[in-house]
Amino acid sequence: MKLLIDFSFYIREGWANFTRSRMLSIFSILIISVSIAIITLFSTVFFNVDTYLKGMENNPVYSIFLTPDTSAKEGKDLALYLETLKGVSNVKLVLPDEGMKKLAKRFPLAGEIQSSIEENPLPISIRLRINTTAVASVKQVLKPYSIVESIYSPHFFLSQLKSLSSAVSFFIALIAVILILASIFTIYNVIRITILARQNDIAIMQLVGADMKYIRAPFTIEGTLQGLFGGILGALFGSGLISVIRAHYLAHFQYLPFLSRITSLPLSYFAGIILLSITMGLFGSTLAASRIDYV
Amino acid sequence: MIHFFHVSKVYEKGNRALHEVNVSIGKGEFVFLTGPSGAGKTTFLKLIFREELPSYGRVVANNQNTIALGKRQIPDFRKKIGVVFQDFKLLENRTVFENIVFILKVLGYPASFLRDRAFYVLKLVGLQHRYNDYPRQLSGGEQQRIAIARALVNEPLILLADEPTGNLDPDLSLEIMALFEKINSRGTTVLIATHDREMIKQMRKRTLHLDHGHLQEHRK
Ligand SMILES: Nc1ncnc2c1ncn2[C@@H]1O[C@H](COP(=O)(O)OP(=O)(O)O)[C@@H](O)[C@H]1O
Ligand SMILES: [Mg+2]
Repeated sequence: MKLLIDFSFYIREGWANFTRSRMLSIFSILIISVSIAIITLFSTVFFNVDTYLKGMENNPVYSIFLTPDTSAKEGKDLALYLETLKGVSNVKLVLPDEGMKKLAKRFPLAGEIQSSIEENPLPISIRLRINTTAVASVKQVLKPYSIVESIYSPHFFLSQLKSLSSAVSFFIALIAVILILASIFTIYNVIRITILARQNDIAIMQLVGADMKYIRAPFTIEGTLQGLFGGILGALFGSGLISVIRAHYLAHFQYLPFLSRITSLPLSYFAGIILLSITMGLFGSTLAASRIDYV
Repeated sequence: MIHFFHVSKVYEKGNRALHEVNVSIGKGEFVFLTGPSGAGKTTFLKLIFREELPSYGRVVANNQNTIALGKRQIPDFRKKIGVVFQDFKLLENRTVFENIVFILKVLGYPASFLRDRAFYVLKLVGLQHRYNDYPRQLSGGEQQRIAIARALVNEPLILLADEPTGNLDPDLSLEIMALFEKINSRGTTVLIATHDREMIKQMRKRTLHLDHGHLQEHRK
């Protein structure tokens, strides 16, 4: 009960501090929100790449190229059959014309080459996703089919993408750490300034016997509130930025399909980001408050 | 209750405020500390509640050697000493009521108790109707009475008052003195620094006289 009363006292004092030093609080919140917005942005990209890679890893896309003399009907029959197999999904028959269109879209140069040659050099192919556990059995099933020329899996591409993604995540983590440190430093300094501004009050409180925790806690609460508001603002700001980017830019990135389908973060990630922001506030302000001198 | 053993206080700039002071004040005593301005009265009080430490010698208050107190022990030590500061030291951005309530919270009183107790002491100094004003809205004398109310609020073991009637007219001064006597009669040791000779004459209490940091005693 005593603890509860103390706590509500600290909160009230902290809130009073917070509103009293309004300009400084707003400054601090803005700095934090910018950092948190950037972190939100990065987390969203990271989260999407990660889910994409996981999906690719568990259900990789395969292309089965059929021999040049295969008819469309034969291809269609095989596709229908494949669809019935366990672990197989998203089966799609790609006819040469369509294949060329896709190619031309991804690599404009290929389109030019195509228009300069009469015959479409592409064979019929079947695109499908195969669960990693089913790959061996599907390959076994396909063995007797003479119309199957080759099976192409994007393993090489995937592992390239993965190493690229881990390099990028390292870079992102580095920037995130810098942003976090910068935010803590900002909060620390802002709280230091408010402490200096209230040095007179602090001295009086000590002279009448206030415990250090009574004097320090409101400043800690003040910093934590800055973290909370900065976090919420930054998360909103960051996700707003994502929607704008998605609407205006990513739609054009068709050769990296997951980028155009980029989703915003799950709620639990937002909770984590705001918690991070609160922790930054708590840490920066505790550090500042711990430097209050005894009188 | 309060003991000075060979106490000298030399401030940083070499100002010698107290010189070889030896004195004991017993529990429940009512004592005046007098002397011209600059004699060392405020310094004497500051040494008791450990705003300052002696340069030489020892000060013992409430059985505690102030030099030996650890940082963390200081707040609890000060909680037992009520101080009326010469410059009041009220919290500027809190109302009169909040100034009193703040002390009660610091002292750990339960929430249910705060309001009644705060109004009780404000009534003692006759300022309950100003509870919602800020210190800057009060006259010097009124601020002084708030400072007195704050020092009395928890009936401390020791009450130190630095020129507590400096801004009060004579009638009010007498009322405040009566208040101090009342607190004293309930067991609080009272030490009042003042250069108001009339007051000292009327009250007929033990009086310590400071002059250029040297202490002399006149017992009446
Ligand atoms: N913080 C300080 N630093 C330097 N000198 C001080 C300080 N406080 C008081 N003094 C000096 O100590 C002497 C005694 O001061 P003080 O105790 O305030 O006297 P009083 O309260 O009797 O007027 C004075 O000469 C004053 O200038
Ligand atoms: Mg003085």
